[in-house]
Amino acid sequence: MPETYLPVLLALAFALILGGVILAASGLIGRGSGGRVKLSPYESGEPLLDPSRKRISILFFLIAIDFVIFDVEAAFLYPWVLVLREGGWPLFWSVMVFVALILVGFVYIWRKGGLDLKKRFRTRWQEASHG
Amino acid sequence: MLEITTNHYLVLGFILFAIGLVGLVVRRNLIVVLMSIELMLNSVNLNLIAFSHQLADLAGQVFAVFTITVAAGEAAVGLGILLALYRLRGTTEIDVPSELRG
Amino acid sequence: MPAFDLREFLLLAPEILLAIGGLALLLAGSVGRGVPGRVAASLSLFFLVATALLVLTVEEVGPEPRLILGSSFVLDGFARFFKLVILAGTALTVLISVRFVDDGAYRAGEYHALLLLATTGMMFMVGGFNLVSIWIALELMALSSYILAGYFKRETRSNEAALKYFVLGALSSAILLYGASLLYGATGELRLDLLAAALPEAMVTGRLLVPTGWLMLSVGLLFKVAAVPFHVWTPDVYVGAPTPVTAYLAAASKTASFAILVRIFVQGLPTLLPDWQIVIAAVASVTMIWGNLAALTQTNVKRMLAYSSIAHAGYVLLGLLAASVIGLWSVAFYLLAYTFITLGAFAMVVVLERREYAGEEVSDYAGLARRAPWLAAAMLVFLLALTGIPPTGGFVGKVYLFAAAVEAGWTWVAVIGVLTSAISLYYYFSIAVQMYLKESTRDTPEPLGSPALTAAIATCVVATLVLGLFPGPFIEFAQAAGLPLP
Repeated sequence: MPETYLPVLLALAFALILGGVILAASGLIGRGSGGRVKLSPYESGEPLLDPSRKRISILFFLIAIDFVIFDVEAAFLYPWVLVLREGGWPLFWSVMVFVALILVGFVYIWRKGGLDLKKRFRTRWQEASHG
Repeated sequence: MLEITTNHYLVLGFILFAIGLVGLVVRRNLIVVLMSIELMLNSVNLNLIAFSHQLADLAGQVFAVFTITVAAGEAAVGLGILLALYRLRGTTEIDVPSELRG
Repeated sequence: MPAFDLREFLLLAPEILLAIGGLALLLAGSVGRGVPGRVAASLSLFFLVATALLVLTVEEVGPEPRLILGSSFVLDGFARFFKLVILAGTALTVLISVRFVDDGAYRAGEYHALLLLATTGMMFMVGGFNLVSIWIALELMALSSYILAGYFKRETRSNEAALKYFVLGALSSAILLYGASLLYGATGELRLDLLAAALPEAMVTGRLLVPTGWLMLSVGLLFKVAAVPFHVWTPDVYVGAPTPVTAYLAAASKTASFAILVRIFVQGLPTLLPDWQIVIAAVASVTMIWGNLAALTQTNVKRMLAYSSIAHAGYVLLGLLAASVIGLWSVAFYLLAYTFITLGAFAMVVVLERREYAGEEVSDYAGLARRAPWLAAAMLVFLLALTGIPPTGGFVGKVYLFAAAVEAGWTWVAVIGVLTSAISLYYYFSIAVQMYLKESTRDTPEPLGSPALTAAIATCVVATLVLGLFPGPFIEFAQAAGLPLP
């Protein structure tokens, strides 16, 4: 029986070695390439107009969170459309319940002012400046 | 011409999983950690779809769609925690001054 | 496409009601200044009680397990038992949350909404009969818990707890899922019973898939129950999270995770019984030893209870290790007793706790017996139960767990259990010594109770003592939660 688990051990070792190799390789190969010009951000060969590491409003992250959720939930609707006729009413209502659940989330974001960008931007700014 | 078999997908999935695992353990920036988690979950999706194709069984693909959804939820919660961290400390690095020590 | 009957949704009425409750509280919380704390807590208690009543009436359990909704879920004694235990644990959590909600610093509506949604996830988990449904339910629980752990979003500690919990929780989910995908590939099945039936053949054909798959699945599950060596997240998360949330994670979350661990191992992987017994034996011994030794040096009560909860995970694993009838129902009985004991102990932490996490040190318990004799007596009961001394539920539970392990021939693991229990006496009683033999100083925090908190502590004390003195009916209740053994 122990020999059954030998491949598992090998796989584990492989994973560790792979990780080590990738880290070591990036460490070794990456070191040689120095230089200020090389490290400077690439913008189609043009000199930079302003710093590339400037702070982005936290608002973009909040929008991203909302977007990710609703975007992916929509993925369920495509297979649903394809089999809707075969599935009949039970399938229809099941997905309606699903849509209703998403609507609850939507209403929550709406009520909390998540869609009111201008207002939200202002309050975030105040919150941030207050620490 | 090399024929692509299920095993090729499994090996690719395994490599992606290993990269995600190492990234999660080694990197200290929460955004990179989030990306590593997504990578691991996507390697699982690759597995599931390869198996689903091999077994001619749809359940694997259904599982994969659910995984994608949960991964999105996980990313959203992770970003939420990240925002709270950022407001509190002004950084997204994980081990900047820590009050909790294992 | 396997057609299913819409009427089968009626059998899920308890879960659906709880989810509706959670969503209603969420929406109510988004209006204006949110829901007042007491209203939110009352509503959440109402939904929990109604759900428990529905579990008792709607989910009638016959002698044979009933598979519903394309066999995604199963109605059996096991699921029913754990659903009730989880609901009781959540209701007590709601009671001990009242004070922090009264502070008004954080919104109550969303807090209770998350609590109810996490509980919905747990109920689906223990009723899951398919790797997909179990995993989705697990994630519903986990995602809600990450947010709950970071609910004090203006406290660095709470935030770090959420962060750590999230990163390690996501890691464990990914590992669990990878294992599940390999098992699916080897057998072509996701249903636990069909998976079990297909395993013997798959072990011959998919040589690498099965061992890797089940090992990774186990790692993910052992992460969730906080067994050594997969416990690293536990102390920090338990200390940093708001105390009621910690209590919830230690009681309800752990119970639900154990339930799926047992169900997957016993119903999904019976073919691998000799293999997983070795893993569980090793993990259980290390968990009992490390959990108790690490607790010895702790001076923070929350951290001590965190290590104690790790150690208790080791004791519970003994029942699974035995893989016998008595082993399985003693797991169920112990988790029932443990829910009350651990919630009671954390309720005591809440009583002494102040803002900025003061009042968590062992020395803060000095002279409690003089200032609040009843509270000190209650704490003593919980400490006795955690150590496993009669006449408490902790004692009865431990006796059966150890007996099950010995009966199944795992005497050495049971001996480790007994020895480490003796060690645990030392650190649990350092608190008792403070309460009864030391004098309080000016800095010692005054105990600050509330009617809800008192009710929670009283319930836990009574339950702990009743389980210890009259275990009979509860053992029968736990026996009804048995799973068919391989």
